[in-house]
Amino acid sequence: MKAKVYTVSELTYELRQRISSEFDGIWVEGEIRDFKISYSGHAHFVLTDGESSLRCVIFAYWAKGLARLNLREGMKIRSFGKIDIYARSGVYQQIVEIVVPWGTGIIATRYEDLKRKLASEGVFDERRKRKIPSPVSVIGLVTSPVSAALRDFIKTLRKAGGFKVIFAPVQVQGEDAPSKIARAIRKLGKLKGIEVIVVTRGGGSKEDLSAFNEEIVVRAIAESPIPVISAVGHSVDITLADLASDLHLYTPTAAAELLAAGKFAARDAVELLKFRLVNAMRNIISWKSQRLSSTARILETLDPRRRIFLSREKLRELKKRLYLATMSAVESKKKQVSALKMQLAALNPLAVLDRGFALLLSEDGKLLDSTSKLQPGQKISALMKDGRVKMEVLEIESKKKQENII
Amino acid sequence: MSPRRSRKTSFEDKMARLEAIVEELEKGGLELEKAISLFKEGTKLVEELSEMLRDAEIEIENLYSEDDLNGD
Repeated sequence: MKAKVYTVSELTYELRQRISSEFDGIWVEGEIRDFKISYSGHAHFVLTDGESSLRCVIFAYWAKGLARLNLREGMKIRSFGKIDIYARSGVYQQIVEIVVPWGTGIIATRYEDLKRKLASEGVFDERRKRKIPSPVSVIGLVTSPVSAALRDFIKTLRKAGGFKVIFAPVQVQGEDAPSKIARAIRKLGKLKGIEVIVVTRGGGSKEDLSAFNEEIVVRAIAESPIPVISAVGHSVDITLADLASDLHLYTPTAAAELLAAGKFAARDAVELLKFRLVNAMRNIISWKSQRLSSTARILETLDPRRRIFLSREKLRELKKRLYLATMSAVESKKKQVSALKMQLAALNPLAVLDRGFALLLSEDGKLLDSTSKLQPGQKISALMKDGRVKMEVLEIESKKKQENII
Repeated sequence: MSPRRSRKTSFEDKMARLEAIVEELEKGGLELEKAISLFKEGTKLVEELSEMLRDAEIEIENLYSEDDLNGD
């Protein structure tokens, strides 16, 4: 008796025949793992129910048709197709033709469970969220060193300048990503001087966001002693990290824009105060010096005959002394005033005007910074970088107090 | 609390003080000496605030030192 000896190809051929006739078009239910699209456009993945795995392939022609389903890691599906053996590797797989999303996958369930748990602890509570300080100078940045995020962020910050960025390079994908990201956030939180932390990632919708749905990352953000801006998920894919952050924006550029705008606004506010300071001092000085010179004039023209009981000599003497004393007082004030005038000139209060702003002044030179100081028909003037415009108020439309621009 | 808080409030405090000074000077009716001393204080605040906001090159520093990376 001689047992039949198969060649490997013979065996494979026979198994293929049996399996594909037995399982020619069946439905299988499971969750997608290791989803990849090959260069040739075929989609490969593993279906699993947690205990067993089944390799699956969707050939390019079908894969295109199924693109709208947005198959991805963790999705639970039912797939239809025949079971076949791939002879070269001796691996059996399902040649998938139809896919129906089915229920919620394990990953999605985990996301929902974690979201519910953290929400019940108040991690996403709006009332817990802090205002992002403005202006800031020192920023902690957590992102991948190889993404465009770092470049976009710095490029946008450069518009305003004057920032220091403490960069924490991390992987944003892969097994180690969550712990690396969490560690970076905690480490930045311990540094002195950092005013805001930005957690972000580069563009590319295919990127895997799962690291930002991990509990340690979400907690690191929520527990950060420094306010955190996140720019991770987009509108359809908001991550738990985004929900826990103090402010969620969509791109690293948007985060940098916000910080740059804060700096611009603060600079303008300081410039305006500087202008008002100098202007107020100018007004005081011109008023005081007018008063000084008129006092001096009165003293000069004192009529000596009113003090007729004094001898002419004595009177002349006294008058002279009085005059000299007054004049020296006037001189010293004048010196003080001219020193101040030089200081004022050095401050160049017109910097605001050079940037295209105009300032409204009343006829007596006071700064008009509110409609409440105006009346229809009032004559005012606008100070611009190259001159003064006389104007008359036609109509006043007062606004309710606005929020700050930033 | 921490130094970062004090730095932050120091910016806001300085802005608030400067605003108060400007308003007082704008009201007028001050002694010249008083006005001058307020003006000097205000000028100093403007300088300090401008320094805090100065437009300088962006500085980038790595959070991890070499040791840190090796120890990872």
